[in-house]
Amino acid sequence: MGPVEVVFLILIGLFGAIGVVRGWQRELGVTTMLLITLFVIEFVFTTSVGQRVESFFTGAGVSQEQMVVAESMIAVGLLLLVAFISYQGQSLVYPGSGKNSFLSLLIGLLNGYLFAGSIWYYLARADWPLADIVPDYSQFYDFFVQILPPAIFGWQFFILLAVAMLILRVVK
Amino acid sequence: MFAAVLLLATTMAIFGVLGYLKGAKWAFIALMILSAAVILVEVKPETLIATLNGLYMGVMLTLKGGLGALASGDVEEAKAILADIDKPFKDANQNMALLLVIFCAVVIGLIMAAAMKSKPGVWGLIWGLVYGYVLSAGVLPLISSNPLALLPLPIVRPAERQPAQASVAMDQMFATLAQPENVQIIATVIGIAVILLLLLTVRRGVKGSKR
Repeated sequence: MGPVEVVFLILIGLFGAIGVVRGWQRELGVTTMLLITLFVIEFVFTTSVGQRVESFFTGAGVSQEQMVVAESMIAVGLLLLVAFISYQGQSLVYPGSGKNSFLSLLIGLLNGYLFAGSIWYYLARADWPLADIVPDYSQFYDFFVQILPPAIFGWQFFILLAVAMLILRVVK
Repeated sequence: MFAAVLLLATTMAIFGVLGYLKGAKWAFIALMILSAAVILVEVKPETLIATLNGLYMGVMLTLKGGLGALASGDVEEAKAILADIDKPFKDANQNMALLLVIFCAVVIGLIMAAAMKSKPGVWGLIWGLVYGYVLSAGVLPLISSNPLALLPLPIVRPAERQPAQASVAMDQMFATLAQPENVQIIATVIGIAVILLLLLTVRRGVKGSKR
């Protein structure tokens, strides 16, 4: 295992620890926000909306590689902003009584996977801009990069899951 | 290799859950007992095998009247009885003696689990996961001749014996997992797990808050 994946795995572990401290009710709010953010990013990048924007910039002389880097930086910036607001500000809290550390750990780790995993995915797709990270990657890296959230789920998954969570939250 | 990974994952999952349910206190004490057994098995296997063989032969000698012969001063008869008793743990069976030691440590831990009462907690889960790993690391080399089954075990297994084999084993495992068909299966499993975890948690929370 090389250092890049270690950094992201530690980050996922940290989110797990944060989850235990904050409780699953608050963590589910962060999950919803991250799912919606990932929906927005994937929807804009993978549908005709993104293709139009891309063709506009390509026509203006921006190369394909530059477009990928720009998209990745926007995605990472948006994820960082939403994560900061979700954790720091007044966030969405789900109903539920009692403290369940195990459940909080699981939801925290899931948030870590969604957040750190997505940042890993977008930075790797842009070939690690602003960082001196070069191949050869380890077998673990090659495996894990294929199961990061944006790599295995489409925008439909993110929005359907977020909507289902919100519906279940309000239906008594 | 797949069987080894499956055994490792299953053992860690079972003891992780058990550790969570029984609490950190039990999980830590059980881990200490198991670690002592595994360290003994790794460091002094010959002594353990000789001791268990000696115990068995001592019991058999008593049952066959050897003690009576010794008490009456007939050493030759006692020697003859002793010569007739086969050592249970020799050649290919030697690993069984070491497995027996680890098995006894697990049984002691499980008996303690039934007796001890403590609160469920995350530390119990963590110690339980470590317990599962140590157990797999202790048992796998005894039941498999495949060098890839030799999991890294800090302190006990010297570093020079481990890294190359361990990294090769891990690389092979991840190379297999990275095959497109395996990625598809893992992605499906992750998707289902995420959906179930989130929706069931939200539902449970809403129902819980209604009461």
